[in-house]
Amino acid sequence: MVFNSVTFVIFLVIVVSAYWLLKPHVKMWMLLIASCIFYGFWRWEFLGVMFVSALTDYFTALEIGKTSPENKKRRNGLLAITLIVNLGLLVFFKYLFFLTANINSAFEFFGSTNQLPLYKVILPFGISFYTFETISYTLDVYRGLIKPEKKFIHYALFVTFFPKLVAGPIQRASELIGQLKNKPAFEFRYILLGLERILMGLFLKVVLADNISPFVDEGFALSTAALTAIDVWTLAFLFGFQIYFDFSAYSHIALGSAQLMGIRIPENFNYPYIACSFKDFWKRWHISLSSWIRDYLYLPLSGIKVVKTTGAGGIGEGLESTQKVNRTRALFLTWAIMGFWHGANWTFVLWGLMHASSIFAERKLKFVRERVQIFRFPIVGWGITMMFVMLSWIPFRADSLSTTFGMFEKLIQPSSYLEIGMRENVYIITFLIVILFVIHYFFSEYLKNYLIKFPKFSFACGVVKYAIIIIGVFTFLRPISQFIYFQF
Amino acid sequence: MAPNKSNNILLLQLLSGVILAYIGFIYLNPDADSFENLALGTQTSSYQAKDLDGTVIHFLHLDSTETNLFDEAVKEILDSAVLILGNSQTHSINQMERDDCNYVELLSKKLGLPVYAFSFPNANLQEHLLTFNYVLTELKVKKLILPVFMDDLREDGIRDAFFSEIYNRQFQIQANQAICKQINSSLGAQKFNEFQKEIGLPTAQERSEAFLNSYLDQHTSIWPKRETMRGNLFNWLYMLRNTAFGIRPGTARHMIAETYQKNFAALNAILDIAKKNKIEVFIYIPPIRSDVNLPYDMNEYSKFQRDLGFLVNKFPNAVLKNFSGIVPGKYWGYKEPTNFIDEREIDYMHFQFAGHQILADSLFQFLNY
Repeated sequence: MVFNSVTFVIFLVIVVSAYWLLKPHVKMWMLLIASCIFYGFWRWEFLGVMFVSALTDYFTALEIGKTSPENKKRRNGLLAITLIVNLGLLVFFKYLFFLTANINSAFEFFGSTNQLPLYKVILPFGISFYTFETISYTLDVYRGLIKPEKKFIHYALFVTFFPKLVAGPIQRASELIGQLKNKPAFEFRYILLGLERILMGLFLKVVLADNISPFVDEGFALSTAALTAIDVWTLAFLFGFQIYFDFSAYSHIALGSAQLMGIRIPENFNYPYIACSFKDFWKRWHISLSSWIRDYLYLPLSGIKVVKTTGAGGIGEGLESTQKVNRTRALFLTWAIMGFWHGANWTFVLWGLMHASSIFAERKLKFVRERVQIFRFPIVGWGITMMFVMLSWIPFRADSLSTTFGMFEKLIQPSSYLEIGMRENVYIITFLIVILFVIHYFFSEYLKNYLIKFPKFSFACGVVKYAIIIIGVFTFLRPISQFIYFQF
Repeated sequence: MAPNKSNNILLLQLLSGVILAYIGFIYLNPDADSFENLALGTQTSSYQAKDLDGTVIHFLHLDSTETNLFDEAVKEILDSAVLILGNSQTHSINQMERDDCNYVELLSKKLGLPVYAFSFPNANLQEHLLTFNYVLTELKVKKLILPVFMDDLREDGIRDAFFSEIYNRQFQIQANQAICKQINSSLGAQKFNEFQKEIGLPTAQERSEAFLNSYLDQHTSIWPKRETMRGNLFNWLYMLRNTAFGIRPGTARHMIAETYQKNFAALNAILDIAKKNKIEVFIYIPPIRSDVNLPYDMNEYSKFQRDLGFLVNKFPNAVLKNFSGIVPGKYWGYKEPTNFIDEREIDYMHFQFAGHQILADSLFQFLNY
């Protein structure tokens, strides 16, 4: 089921009402059934895939919990089962076509006439998200950070809880299972705050992201020969904002839907485009994935032992340790995998490596930042970060590496800065979005606190804001497009 | 989220927001006029041509529920037909009066042949190529009349608002030209239909959404107005842009190189397919108000005319006429302003009934040259 639909609105009203009306022991089962219905509205048969992943981790985690820490062989074996099943599912559904196509290309390159058959497999929604959640659960049990959950209903809900099922935020078992067990008592503010978040999310999706989308699609459909450097920059910024609105919209609706039931899901975004460094950007963008990647990929690859669960906090929190081994190699490998997680295409790997390079450069050039006065101004860091982050969206959106490089090539041609190749509206819209984003940030962060001193005016501003949001959502609510992150 | 905001204030704000939104919706959306009429303004009216029996022969969407073209009974009667493709000039009459009609209807009566027309606002040649191919699968076409507007060469892609049936039927153009493949892939790339395509059936989500929307359309007065509201909002943004940047109908809009080439490739494909099907093609540069400065860069306009002539000359089944100056200035009108400053604006695209008569006569001569 997609959030931006009337179906979801009705579904949510029914589920939330039932949740608060039913007795505590029944509401968990109701939520599990509702989550299955939510998923099944896309395709029922793929529920099986999700439950294969979930059940594997449920039983292996229980077994790991029962096995003494000294029996490393058995524990490692159980962990291997989890990894093989989950990553196997991911590889089969997400990377099979890509892998066989690349192997065939390699055969061709080396002059072999052997060709593997190509199978196009439908990618089950949310597989990248729920497999990461189930893996992290078993790994946390393996590391001794949490105890295995014995009650299947709690564990199953951790995996299937519908607000975050398809596109995150990626949750840790320790964050969600405890809340499910506590079964919060009804508070009216849950409904108000939840509604506020959902309205905001729907506005971002159906009013902003969906209406930017045609311009982005049109721009990226042009041949690179027809694009100018100004077009490339414009498309980079425009897509950067489209994906931000789209993905943060999903997170807003996910958080809001859970909030309606008194369940807290951690924030996934925090004004990423005001980040003044690359490290800062990744503390603000897709926070749940960044922290997952750090805890389960980067830290092990860096030889750092995790001794304490960190939840969804930002990079650098919750560690107590230790030995460091070739951080640069770990950095690039982590980012390449992170890129690959997004999609089975080399363009995503390039996107990941561009971010790895930027963080690497930031580390290595730290002394320059400290010595040269101009780099101490946040606006300089912001400008550099913003430009690079936006440019990195080019491989993320382009259909191939050749298109990506063709677009990048334009950026280094001075003559390409003298003309434009797209509709005038594209430039106007991009310019307005950047300006409005900056204004909105300053309003939310600074002016809002000042306006509180004028309660009547502040109240009126709030009413107008909600009226605009409600008109926008009511007018544009229609499932004309998926959320971008559904494809991952 | 506003954690420090008291519940009562937030509740009051949300409720007041709902009331204000409702008032705003009614105020901004006074009547449920169609988006097409909204774009034309009140000075220009949309008109669909009819034949002598009063049957509509002119369609504004490519939709078999709207047209009778695809009925078996009609197809049997029609041995061959004249097909007219066009944009809003075809279906619009400025200062329309009672008994006025458009050039399609006039031409149909003069020719005594079955004439069918499809016209979509700002239709680009890729859309004409798609329409042409779709109609060919159902109808034997003998002659094709095709105006090529310089303005519409800036338009790109296939709009689902006019081609929803094509999307639903997963129609594909059966031709090898690169532009046909591009159009086919754009039809296949309709995001929400991808699943339908993979599965072969609508998903539960699609079925429930269709049911709920239809229910809300039928049982509420406000839900069906959403489309007009979207049109109103975009129109307001369009006027805001024009006001802010001083854009007027006479402002020269430059060609977009890639889109221009794609549209010419589409025209090339139309001519090629027509040649294979032994269809005569009558292309004309349409009338434009020429007693005032044209809204074009004149170098680009000359290039457009040269390119068009060059392309048409390559096809023995095609002829080209320049009708740009045939409708005198007095038969053109004004339209409502597209900005917040002016009281009215020159309408470069839509002429009065007299203009339609002139164009019908010119086309009649053109077809019998």
